[in-house]
Amino acid sequence: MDYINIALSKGRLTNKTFELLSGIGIDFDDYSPESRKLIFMNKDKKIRIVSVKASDVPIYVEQGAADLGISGKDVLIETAADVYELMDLGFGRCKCVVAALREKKLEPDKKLRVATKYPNTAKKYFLSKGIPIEIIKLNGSVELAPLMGLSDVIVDIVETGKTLKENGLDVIDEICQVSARLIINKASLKTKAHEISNILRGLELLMNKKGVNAV
Amino acid sequence: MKNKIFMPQGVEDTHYNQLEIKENATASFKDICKVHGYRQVLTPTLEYYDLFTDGTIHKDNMFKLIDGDGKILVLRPDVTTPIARMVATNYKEASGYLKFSYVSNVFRINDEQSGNKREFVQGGIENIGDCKPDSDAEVISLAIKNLLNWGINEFKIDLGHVGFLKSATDVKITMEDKKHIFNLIENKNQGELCLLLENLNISEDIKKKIIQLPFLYGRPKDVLEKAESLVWNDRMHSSLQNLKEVYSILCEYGYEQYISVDLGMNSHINYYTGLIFKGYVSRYGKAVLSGGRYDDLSSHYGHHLPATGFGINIDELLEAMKMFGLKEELKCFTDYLILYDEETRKSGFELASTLRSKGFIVESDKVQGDMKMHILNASSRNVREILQISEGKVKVIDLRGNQLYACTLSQFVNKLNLEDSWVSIH
Repeated sequence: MDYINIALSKGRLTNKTFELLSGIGIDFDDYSPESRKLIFMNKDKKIRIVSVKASDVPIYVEQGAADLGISGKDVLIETAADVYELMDLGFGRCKCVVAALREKKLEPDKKLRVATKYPNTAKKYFLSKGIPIEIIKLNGSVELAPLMGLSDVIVDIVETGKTLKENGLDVIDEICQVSARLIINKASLKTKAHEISNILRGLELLMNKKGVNAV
Repeated sequence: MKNKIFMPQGVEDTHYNQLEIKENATASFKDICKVHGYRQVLTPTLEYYDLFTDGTIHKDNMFKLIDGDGKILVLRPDVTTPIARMVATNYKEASGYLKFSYVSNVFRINDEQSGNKREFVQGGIENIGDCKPDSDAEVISLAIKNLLNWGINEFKIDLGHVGFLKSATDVKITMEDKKHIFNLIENKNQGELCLLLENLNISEDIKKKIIQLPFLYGRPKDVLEKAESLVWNDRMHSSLQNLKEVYSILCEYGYEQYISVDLGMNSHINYYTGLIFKGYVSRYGKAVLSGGRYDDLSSHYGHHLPATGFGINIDELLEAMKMFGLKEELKCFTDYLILYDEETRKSGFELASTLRSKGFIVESDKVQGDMKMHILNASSRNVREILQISEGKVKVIDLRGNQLYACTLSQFVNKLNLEDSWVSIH
């Protein structure tokens, strides 16, 4: 039997994902939060985890290098990957927002400059609003951009809004809610139907149980 | 200077061993189509942009050129549309059905850096003028026959129905919402589907049913049964009946084991009107073939004919075959390398002709300097035997058997005549 490969994102979602898998009886002895390993195996259940950069998870799954993936909705929207998005796993909740400096007046006679790690998401959002923009693609500390005069607004994800506040930024609009999603390669769901549906059923039961507990 | 040796994204050279495998796969595809009565056609590489603007291929995905008169041309982004155009213009008088096959290069601008090819070979068939479920099943059976013939036996042909999904959303909502619903159903995103439906003006009863659509996939019998209990209008019912009929014909072909059903399947190519399908090969992450019924396409060009067909991406298929370790034995080789000197040049040429007429692959070269160099070159070219000719004698260096012997030229030829079974299989 072939291994089921699961791609998961290094960072924000890692520990939660291992907890979740452990909850359905899939454990990885060689995993610890400090581990630098990129591949983890469960030989009994024939499951292999590859730990990749968060923004790469949808690509691994779309191209079939991994059968399943756990990825934030923000990354899914940004990559527009062609995958099945089967489950909202409920953790890693945050929002994708547009933010600008407090008291900053947007000049209507100028093209809006938008700094972001999510150029496609930003383009789509402003297109739907009918606002022409210029994208400035950044790779981190996006909050700095308006402060340093690099852009008028930013598009980024916020969890608590603390970072924004401390940097003098206010949320202007919310683009979407973000949480961790279970994604599946389109071919895998058809050709490894049995193995994958076992995992799905386990997760579904677990999610329902959690839902009950929360109430 | 340096970037002269690089190639644009998404295109590549095909080297001889790879091309041998590709040509072989293509030839067997053409054979199978031919013996089923599908006649090969070829449409031009250049077409008018306008041919594709009603949404067949997204306009950003086509390679465009400007013609001398300012009109926009595109490099063939799809083969089905040109064939529909060809049929509507040239076969107006035809009664009964037409069966076409093709193998063509298709050009599409894919997202940069996605690893997808921008030029690929597509093989396919179109069965035109027949609306019976038998023609859908025949087209699918040919897809299956080809996969099996290529040595692939772990695959699934996943069936869906455009009519089913369309009539499921036959309620008064905006086109945009409909599209959104289709996408969410296709991607099996039940969570967001629930959220979207909450705010739409649809009866609660139907909402509950729509929410279940993403999970109508899997084994045909189970899915069809489940769907049967779910359908809520006549058109859904007739779409489902149509799918059932096609499935039962495929069972009569003996292909039951290769079929699965996904009623949430949607196609991004919007000319499809009925049964659609995709082919997935085990361990390969993308659909290698897709097709379906497109009854209205030819009426865009003034002549209505029902039709169905499929296309297979031969480049992706080859990658899938590589995963199965298939067709590796198809390596280019040469049976004989004849080495001559100035005195034996003429008899060398004669021997080469004799051998070629017997069906061997023969190359020849003038002997020069060290034999070691010739042997090295010959083994890297996968040459089986070197024949070094000098004054009526042949020195045979068997590179596979690591043997060396000598005989006279006539002895060598006589031996060949005796061993007719030796004939090369190139």
